[in-house]
Amino acid sequence: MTLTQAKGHFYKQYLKLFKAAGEWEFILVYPLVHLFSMGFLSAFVGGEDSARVALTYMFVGAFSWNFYVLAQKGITYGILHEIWSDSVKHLATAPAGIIDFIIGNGAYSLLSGLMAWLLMYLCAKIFFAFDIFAGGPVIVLGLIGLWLYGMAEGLIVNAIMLLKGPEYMSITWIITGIVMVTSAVYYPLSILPEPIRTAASILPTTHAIESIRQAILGGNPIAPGINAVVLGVAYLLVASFVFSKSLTRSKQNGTILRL
Amino acid sequence: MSIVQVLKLKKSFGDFKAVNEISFEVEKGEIFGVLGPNGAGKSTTLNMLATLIEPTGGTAIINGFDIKKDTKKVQEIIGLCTSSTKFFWDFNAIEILNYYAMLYDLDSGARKRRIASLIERFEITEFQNKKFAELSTGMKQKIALAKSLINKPKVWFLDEPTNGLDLEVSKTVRKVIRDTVKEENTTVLLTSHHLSEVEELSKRIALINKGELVVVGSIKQVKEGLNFFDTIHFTLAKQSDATQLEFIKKIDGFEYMRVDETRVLVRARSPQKLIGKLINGLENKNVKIYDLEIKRASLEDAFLKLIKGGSSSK
Repeated sequence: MTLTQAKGHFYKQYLKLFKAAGEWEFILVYPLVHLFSMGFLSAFVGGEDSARVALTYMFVGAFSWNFYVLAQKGITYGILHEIWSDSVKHLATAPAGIIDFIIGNGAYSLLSGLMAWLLMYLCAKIFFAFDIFAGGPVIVLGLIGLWLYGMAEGLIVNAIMLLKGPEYMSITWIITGIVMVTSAVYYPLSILPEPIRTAASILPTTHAIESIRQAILGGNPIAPGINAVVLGVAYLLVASFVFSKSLTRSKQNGTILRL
Repeated sequence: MSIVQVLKLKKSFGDFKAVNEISFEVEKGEIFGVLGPNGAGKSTTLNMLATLIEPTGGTAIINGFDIKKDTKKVQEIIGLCTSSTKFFWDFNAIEILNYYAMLYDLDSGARKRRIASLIERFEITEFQNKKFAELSTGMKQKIALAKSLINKPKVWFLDEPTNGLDLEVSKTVRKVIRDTVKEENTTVLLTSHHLSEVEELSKRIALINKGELVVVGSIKQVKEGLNFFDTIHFTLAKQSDATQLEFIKKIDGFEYMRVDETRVLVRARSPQKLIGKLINGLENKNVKIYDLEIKRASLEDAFLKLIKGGSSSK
């Protein structure tokens, strides 16, 4: 593992950002569509005081969700760009390892996530007088948890594509959909039925979003923040192992030649 | 000294044996040809050696590193280029080479120097800032070749590198292959459908058919291994008594003779050596001939014979 090799992965994504117009959709369009929809919705459903809480729930959900999706996308597209260009074999025969891949693409995930956050922050502040940073520096814990888990999910999707083919990319949306409902992104965890609440407790997203919410609403953000980070690290380690094994397997059974 | 040792290399996809326990060695600095019909197992062999797929059995040692155990070390010293190679359509040549140079851990200075040298060698300066998608097939292949040399590989795997290219670009590619071997002391493993190309570039080859190694050695040895020799054709001034030509069978290197009225065909291991004795013998026997021609047994003929016969004489 070297910094140059990790930088190579980052360089590819960085160039893609300025060459493929579609890349900006995830940073500029979807986060803002999300933000404004949630902003207007919370204004519609809430009264004076409760509107403020509803707005916090919905905006924290929108901010967190887009950050998590961009973290996952950075890792998934690290392979998908290669599949779409029919150049997987170059990557698979280069001496850069899985750690380089994760660091390089993960750094890009972080950059794109922060860019989206900055844009959302400005719009939320100007149009809805909402400040995501009002929770203070402790929200970083939640962000780290989201970032780690997003990368882990990206690696799992990559592992599936390596074994089954790029058509399985759509599994991303199935996973994110389930995670969105289960993690109580836009509503309190207590609203979920008991079995789903138990499932939610093992997802870093649940704890990360709760931590950011608590930071803004004046609760205790530390415990859920630490849970998010610890769970995120655990998921990333397991996902890295699964990705590594699936790469080996695709080289053994030849599925890599079909990508 | 062998830089590549292929040791009972085997690859199966389910029940299908794509490559079945093939073994051969490649000397340092040589251009070694791997030939065989479609589906013979050539590309599968190269893909295993280049660490793209894992062997089912056996292994190969490249510059002292085992492809199964020391995969990363092997990847650092090899380059792979296939026909119709593709890259990111919206990247230009410099960006493509820069990206792979980073994956091969070249620092900033080394990257700049290597990319500049490859751009010059492959004559792509004029097109270096054009998107890959906008380039001609020949130019794309030049970039693919340049990319496969980005790490100054000790062993360069070329899987049909001139496939689909016009004659001029093919000629440039062959020149670059020869120059690279000379200047960078690179060893080349080359597969090609153009047998004349392999014959032009390689001294030694391996013939693979249906996943089996048929024969390995110098091109001359391979032709002989397939019992395929150069032939001498001559026409007698008049039909001779067959006994007058019997002396030909006793000449050293003689393999086979066929007389069809006045037309005579002699197959020999080394017709150049045999021809003097043949002409002297005919003069001594007072047998006059009209014309005489040596037909070289081409690798293509040997190859076609292999495919038709399905020969497997290891």
